[in-house]
Amino acid sequence: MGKTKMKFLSRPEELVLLAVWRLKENAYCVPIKKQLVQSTGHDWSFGAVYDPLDRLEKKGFLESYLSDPTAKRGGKRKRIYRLTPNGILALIEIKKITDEIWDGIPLKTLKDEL
Amino acid sequence: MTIEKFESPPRFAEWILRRIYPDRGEFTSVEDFREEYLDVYHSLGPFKAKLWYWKQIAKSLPDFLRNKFHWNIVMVYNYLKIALRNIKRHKTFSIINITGLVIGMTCSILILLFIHYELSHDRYHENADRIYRILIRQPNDIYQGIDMYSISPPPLKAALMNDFPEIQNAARILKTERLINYKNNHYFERRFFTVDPAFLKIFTFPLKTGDWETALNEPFSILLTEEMAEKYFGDEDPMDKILSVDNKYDYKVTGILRNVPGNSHFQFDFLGSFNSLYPIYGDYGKRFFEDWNAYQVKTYIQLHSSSDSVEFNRKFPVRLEKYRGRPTNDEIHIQPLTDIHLGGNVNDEIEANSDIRYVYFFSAIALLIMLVACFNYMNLSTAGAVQRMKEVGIRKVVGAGRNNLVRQFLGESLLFAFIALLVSVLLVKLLLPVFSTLLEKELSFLVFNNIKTYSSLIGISVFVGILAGSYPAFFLSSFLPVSIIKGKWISRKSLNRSSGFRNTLVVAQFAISTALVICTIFIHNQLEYIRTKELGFKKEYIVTVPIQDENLKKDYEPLKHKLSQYSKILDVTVSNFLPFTVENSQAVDWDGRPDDGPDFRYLCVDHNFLDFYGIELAEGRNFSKEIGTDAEQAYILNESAVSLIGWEDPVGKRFNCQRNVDGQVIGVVSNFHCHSFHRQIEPLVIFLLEDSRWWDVRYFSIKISSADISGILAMIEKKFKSFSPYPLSYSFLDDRIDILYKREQKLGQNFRYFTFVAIFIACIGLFGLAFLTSGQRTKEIGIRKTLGASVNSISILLTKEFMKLTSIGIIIAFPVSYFAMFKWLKNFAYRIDITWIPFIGAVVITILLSLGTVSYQVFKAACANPVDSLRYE
Repeated sequence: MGKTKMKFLSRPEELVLLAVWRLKENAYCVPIKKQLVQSTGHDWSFGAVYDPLDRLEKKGFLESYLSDPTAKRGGKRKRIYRLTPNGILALIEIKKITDEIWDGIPLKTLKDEL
Repeated sequence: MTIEKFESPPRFAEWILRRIYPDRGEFTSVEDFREEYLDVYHSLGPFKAKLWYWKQIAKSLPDFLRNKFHWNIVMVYNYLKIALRNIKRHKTFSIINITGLVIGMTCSILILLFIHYELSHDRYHENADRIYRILIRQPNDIYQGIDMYSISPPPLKAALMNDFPEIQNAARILKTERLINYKNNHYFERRFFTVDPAFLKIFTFPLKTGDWETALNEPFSILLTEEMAEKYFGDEDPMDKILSVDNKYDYKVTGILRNVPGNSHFQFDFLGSFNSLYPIYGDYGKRFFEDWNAYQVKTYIQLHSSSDSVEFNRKFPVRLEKYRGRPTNDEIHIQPLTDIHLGGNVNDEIEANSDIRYVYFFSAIALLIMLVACFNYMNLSTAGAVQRMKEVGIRKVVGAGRNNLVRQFLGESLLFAFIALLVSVLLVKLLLPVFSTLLEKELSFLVFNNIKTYSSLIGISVFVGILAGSYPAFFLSSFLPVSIIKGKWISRKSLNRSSGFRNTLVVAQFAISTALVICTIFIHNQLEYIRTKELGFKKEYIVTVPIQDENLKKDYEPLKHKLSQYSKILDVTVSNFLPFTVENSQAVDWDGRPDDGPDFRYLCVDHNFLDFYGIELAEGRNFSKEIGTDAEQAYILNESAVSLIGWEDPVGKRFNCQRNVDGQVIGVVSNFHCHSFHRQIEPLVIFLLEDSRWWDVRYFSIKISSADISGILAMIEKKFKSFSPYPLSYSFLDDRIDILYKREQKLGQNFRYFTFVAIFIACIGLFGLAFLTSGQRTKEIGIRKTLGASVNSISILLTKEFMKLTSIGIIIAFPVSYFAMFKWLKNFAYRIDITWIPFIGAVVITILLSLGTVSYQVFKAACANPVDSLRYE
């Protein structure tokens, strides 16, 4: 990335950002959390999800809006997140960096070193 | 799918959640939890779900608490540290600030104690709100300007109890003065009450020993207070002992009362049983108890707890005619017990009452002093703001919001207020005895032993803290960090605004102080005027002796003769009243008197009375021993009486004052002040004492030579002793006259003290302000001096600003104090004129004081060497 260096994201932030992208229209807290639990195997508390969400929103990678009331939540609304263009850029950046770092390191080699 | 009731998470837990996550807009987070909860509910069942929910809460609580309180505590601790550091660093400033608050608070607490005491009168009775006093209004008989009387006829009690079922108890009080004797120790007791047994049921006067239900049932039973028990019996047990009353009747002690609290509208030492009066009065007794004309007893009633007091009140006034059988305009009124003390005086009060106006007056003073003290604080803190600006700037830069700063500075002023409170409480403890004697009230700090007073003390300091701290907090927190840190300090506009506000405060302080000074001068002048005004009779070196002994009243000539023989006694005379307290009046008659003509005050005197007191005759002649008819037929009027009647040539006119034979006016005296200066001199008739009116022999007046006063007094006492067993009490006439104006004198005295305090605080404030501004203008002064300004011109420059403020304050004080004094002086029929002199005096005092206060600082600043002040540039 030329002129602006990418702001580093913490691992949870990265995971949350990715989860929001994956979930698209359905990216609100509960599914995000489920997604994270599924992919990491850790038990994520809501707090642990809200925190990165807030931070990402502040950094301008995410934006949120209130959905229309849904019957499932007893007529209450939910806060849906979606990626901003910056967020997508950030994902691209992460992907690039991660790929670069991992370039040429097959899983097998690592496992052999055990 | 809708959520059914049993499927919703635990309510309490959800409530907590809402508290913890309040910032997530529409509680979407709570809904998130709910959704997850439902999932758990469906997969693992209700119990696990609930457990899960609670676990979530438990996990988030610690952090929440940490954020919520921990950081707050850290901040408060920091605020406290900074505040204490500031106090330490700016010692003069802090001491000035705290001193102002301490003085203000001390005064206010003292005054509040006084007010509390005044308001607490008679409230200690268990039934206080159901007790009433009977008053009789006699529309035709205005006495001391009031037609309400606290005395009522003895049969009224039974009549009222009969007619008003609401009345549970009623008691009569007959106050008399009795000679009491135990083992030949005679004392003349003025506070002897003869009361119905119900007295002890109505009022709460606990007995130390004895049975309150039966103590006053028997004739000749007597209760005495602890104090009296000590006085008569010492260590002996007084119960069942016999006290001799008037050397005639033997009363048996049936109980000891606790001393009557000071905050009671009547004070007594003895309670005798009412039915003792039957044997004492003998045949007259029967008539007395049925006599609707014997306005002698005080009647108090107590209502049943179930009765409707509003309804009862509505039934009054009642016309007395219905009971009396004879036509009369008199009306029966009721007055709640708790209104008596502050309701002002009606006629024949047992003790002089206070007045609610005095309570208002003192509250106003307390408030004014407190305001002056708060203004001080505001002033100094805003003026000292420069010292704090960098701090404010830094705080704002690192993220303090305006409300944080407001909270910080309010907290600081609260801290000041609490420090001041602690010091004031100590001071109050020290000053209370002095203050009590000043007011002649038994104020005590003991009322401080309850929650209510503690909380009101704390209330005071919170009030002061917030009042005093609000503006500085608002002002200090308004600085913009950028301009502060850039070194621009604050904008010109906001600086001007704040100094405008400060100036207003100084003006207000000086307006209040000057107004108080002006009032003090007026009050002082009026009191001096009263003290020194020509009364129209002589009052120096006159000893007055009240006569109680019936035998002496009937035959006073021998004693008078004996006394006159002594060379150092210049003259002796006898009268029913002393010439300055002629209060009783009688019906009089003259040719052409209208039917509703007024009664006249009357003086019954000895032949030499007018000469004795040097009362001047304007017309006619004095009484003469040579003219035999004078004894029953001669009247002397005062000028008021003559002008009321409208006679051109009064001498020789027919006149009568309740005697069988008509008499005539033999002379007219110049008006003299026969009652206090509050009232105009009223019509007065003077006539000679006669044997048939022996009870009018009430006072001996004895004129003595000025040398060896104590020897003469001892001699007089000896002479009296040889004629009467009654203990002698004498007093000097001028002392007695002073007592008439005691209330005003006390008021004047207190006013002076509080004025002093107010002006002192204002000066402290001015001093502080001078201290700060001269500090801030050091550089300006240095530059002026290097450019050639003299010490004088700089002093004038600095002083001018303060003087401007003081002057505006003074100008505002003028109309305010003018109206206050105009109203107060209206209480006096004889009063000083409102002239300019006190105003000018007050101006001089205030200006001098404020000049004196600022001069030191100003001089110091003006004399400073410019090299020192400019060295750092």
